[in-house]
Amino acid sequence: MSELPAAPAHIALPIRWQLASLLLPLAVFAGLAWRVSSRPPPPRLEAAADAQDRRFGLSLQRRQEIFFDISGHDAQWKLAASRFEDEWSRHDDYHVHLARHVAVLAARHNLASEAVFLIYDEGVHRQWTDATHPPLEPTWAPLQPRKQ
Amino acid sequence: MKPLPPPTAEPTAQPADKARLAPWYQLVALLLSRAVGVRWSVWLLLAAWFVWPLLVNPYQLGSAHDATYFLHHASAAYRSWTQYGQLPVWNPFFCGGIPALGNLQESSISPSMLLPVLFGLMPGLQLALVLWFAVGLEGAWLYARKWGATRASAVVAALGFAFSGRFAMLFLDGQPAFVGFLLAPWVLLGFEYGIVKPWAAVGGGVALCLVLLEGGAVATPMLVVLLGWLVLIHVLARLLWWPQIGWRWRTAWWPLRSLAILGTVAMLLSAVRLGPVAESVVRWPREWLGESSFTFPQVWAMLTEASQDGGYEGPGTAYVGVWLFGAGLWGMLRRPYRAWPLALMIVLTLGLAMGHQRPWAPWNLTTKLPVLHNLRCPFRITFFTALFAATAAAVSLGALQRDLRDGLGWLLRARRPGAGQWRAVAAWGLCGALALGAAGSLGRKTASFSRLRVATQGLEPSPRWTDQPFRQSLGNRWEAHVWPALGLGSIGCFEEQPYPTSRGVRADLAAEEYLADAAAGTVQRLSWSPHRIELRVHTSRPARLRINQNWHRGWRSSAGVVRNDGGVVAIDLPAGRRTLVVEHRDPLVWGGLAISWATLAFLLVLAAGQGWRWRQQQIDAGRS
Repeated sequence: MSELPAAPAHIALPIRWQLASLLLPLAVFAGLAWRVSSRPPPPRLEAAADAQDRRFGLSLQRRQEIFFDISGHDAQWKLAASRFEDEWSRHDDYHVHLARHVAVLAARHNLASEAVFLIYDEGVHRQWTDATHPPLEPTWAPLQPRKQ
Repeated sequence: MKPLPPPTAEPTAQPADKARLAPWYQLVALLLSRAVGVRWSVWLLLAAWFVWPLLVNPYQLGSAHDATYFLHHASAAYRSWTQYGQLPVWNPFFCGGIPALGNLQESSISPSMLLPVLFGLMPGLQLALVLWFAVGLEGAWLYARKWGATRASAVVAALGFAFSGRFAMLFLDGQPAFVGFLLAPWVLLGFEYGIVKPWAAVGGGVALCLVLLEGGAVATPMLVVLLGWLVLIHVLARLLWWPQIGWRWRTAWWPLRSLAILGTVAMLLSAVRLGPVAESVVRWPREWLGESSFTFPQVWAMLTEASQDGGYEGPGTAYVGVWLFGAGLWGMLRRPYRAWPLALMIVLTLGLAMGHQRPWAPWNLTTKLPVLHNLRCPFRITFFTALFAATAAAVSLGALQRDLRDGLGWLLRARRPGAGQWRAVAAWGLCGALALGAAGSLGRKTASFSRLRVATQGLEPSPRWTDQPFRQSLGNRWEAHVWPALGLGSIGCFEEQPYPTSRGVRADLAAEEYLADAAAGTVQRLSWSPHRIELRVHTSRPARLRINQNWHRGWRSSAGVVRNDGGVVAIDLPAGRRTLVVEHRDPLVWGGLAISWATLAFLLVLAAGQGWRWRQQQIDAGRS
C-alpha cells in the first residue's frame, strides 16, 4: 500500500473543460494544415499543341526525334528483359529501362519527365514510324502478378 | 491547509476531496494528465516532428518504387472524387481499367481521403500521415494504460510503438497503406476490453474497419492472425486455475464473443468495400508461392540493431532498441500479472515473425488455413512485437514509478497531519516527472533513430498535373503516379492480384469509343468520366461499339447489350441514332454502401443513447 495518494484519480475534468481542451489540437492541426497547404503546387503542365503544332515549346520534328530515341531502344530493352523467365519480371525490367531513359531525355532536353511521357504517348497514338523505327506494339500482355 | 485523507481503494467515492486540493495543483494536474486535448496536441506535434521533411516539402514523395504505385491510386481516386464527384469504384487509369474499391491496396474511400479532397492531393496526404501517427500514439498510450502503466510511463509505449523502425520503413519502402498498423492498439483495446464489456468490442470493430478502408492488404490479415492467436491464448488462460484469481472456465467463451462482435461490426461497417474485395480475392486470388523464414538472431537484429542499411528486412528495419526490451524486466518482477502476458505476446510475435522456420512454427500453422495461405513477409509481425515490447516497458516503468513513490512516501511520512498534502504533491510530481523523463528518454532513442531514417529517405517531385481528354496510353508501371496526373490511362501496370486485363485495350486508337465495323456508323464522345461515358452514336445497321477499357460485370448501357469482347467492354447496338450512356455501376458496392450507412447510423444512435445514459448517471451522482 502506498504511503501517498497515487494520483488524484477522483479529479475529473468537467466535460466543458474537456471539450474546450479539444480546441487546442484543432488549433495545432489548423496550423499544420496552413503550413502545408500554403506551399505552392508545381505549375500545371500545358499539354495542348499551339497553332504551329508545337508542344512543350518543341516542334513536331523535335518531338519525333525524342520519340524515336525512345522507340529505337525498344528492341534493346526487350532483349535485356528476356534474361528473366517470368513475364512479370520481363515487363518490370522493360519499364525500368523506359523510366530511366525518359528521365535522361527530360534532363537532356530541359523538359519535365511528364512532357517526355506525353511525347511518348503522342508517338504511339499517331503511329510515328520511319525506315529505322518500326511502330511500337500498342499494348501489353495481360497482367501477371509475381508469385515468388 | 487541511491534510489529505488517507488513500482508499475507491477514491472516486470521495468527491468532497476535490475541494481540499490546491487550485493550482488541480489545474496543472488536469491539464497535463487529464485533458485529452492537451495530450492530442502533444501527439500531433510529435507526429509532425516525425514526418517533418514531408510537411516542409508537401509536393514531394519518397523515391521508393512502391510510393509511385500508391500515389497512382490516390491520384485516380482524387480525380474521381474532386473532378467528377464520383465514388471511386472503378479505376480506368491503370491496366486498362481495374476495380478500385475491390482492390485490397486502395484507400479511395478511407476517411483519410477527406484531407486530400479538402487541402489538395499532396498536402492532404501528408496531413493524413500526421493524423494517423497521432492516432497511433494515442492508441499505444491508451493500450499501455489499460495494462497498468501510469500516465507518465505510458508515453514510452506511445513513442516506442508509433515511432518503431517498421513505421520508418513505411517511408523507405514507399508503402503508406501500412499506416493501418497504427490502429493495432485500438483494435486490441476493443478486443481486450470487449472480453468483459462486450460494447467495447464495437470500438475494436470500427478500428478494424478503418484498417481495411485504408488499404490494409497486409495490416488487416495480420491483425486477424494476431486476434486469432489472442483468442486462443485468452480462452486457454480462462480454462486454467490461477492463484488469487481461481477458476474462470465459465467465462472461457467471452474472448470468442468479443471477437465475434468485433468482427461483425468490422464486416458490416466496411460492407461497401468488403463485398468487392471479397469478390476480387476469391476470383483473382493474390497467389504467393514463396516461403520465407528468419532465424531468431535475424529477427532480433531487426528489432534491436541500430543499422541504417538493413534494406527491406535486415537489421534495424523494425528497430525498437534493446533498452526498451530491457526496461520490461522490472515489471516482470513487480507486476507479474501485467508483464508476463505481454512477455508471452512478445514471444508469440517473435515466433510468428520467424516465418516458415519449422513445420510447427506458428506462422507455418497459420498459413495452413485456407484464407491465409497467401500471407507473406512474416517479418512484418514485428509491428506487434514493438507494441507489446513498448507496452511492457511502460508497465515496468510505471511499476518503478509507484515503487519510488512508495519509498518517498515512507521517507516523507506523508500522512503526518499539517504538511501531508504538499509533500504528497511534491512526491507525486517528482515521481511523475522522473517517470516521464525516463519514458521520454527511452522512447527518444527509438524515435530519433526512426526519424533519422525518415529524414534521409530520398524525395522526388510529385508529377505535374494537366487536363486532357482521357485515353489509354502504353504508360509505365515504374512511374505509375504520372498517368492519372496527366489524365491518361497506363496500360502497363503492376498489381498484386491478377485482375482480368485484355490485349484488346490499345494505346494507338484514334478514339477510345469506336465501332468494330467502322463503316457501320459514327461515334462521338459527349462527355467522359471514370464511371459514366455519354456518346452520340449513329449506326446504319446493327453494330458493335467498343469502349477501350477492360470488361467488368459492372458495366451497363442505356441501350443495346453489354458484351465481353475478348476482355474489352463492347455493346451490341441496333441500327439507329441515339445518345448512349455507358455506366459502371456495381450492385455489390451500392448494396454494401447501404449496409455500411445503416450500420453507421445504428452505431451512432447506440452511442448517443449510451452517452445520454452516462450523462444522466453523472447528473444523478452529482445530486447524490
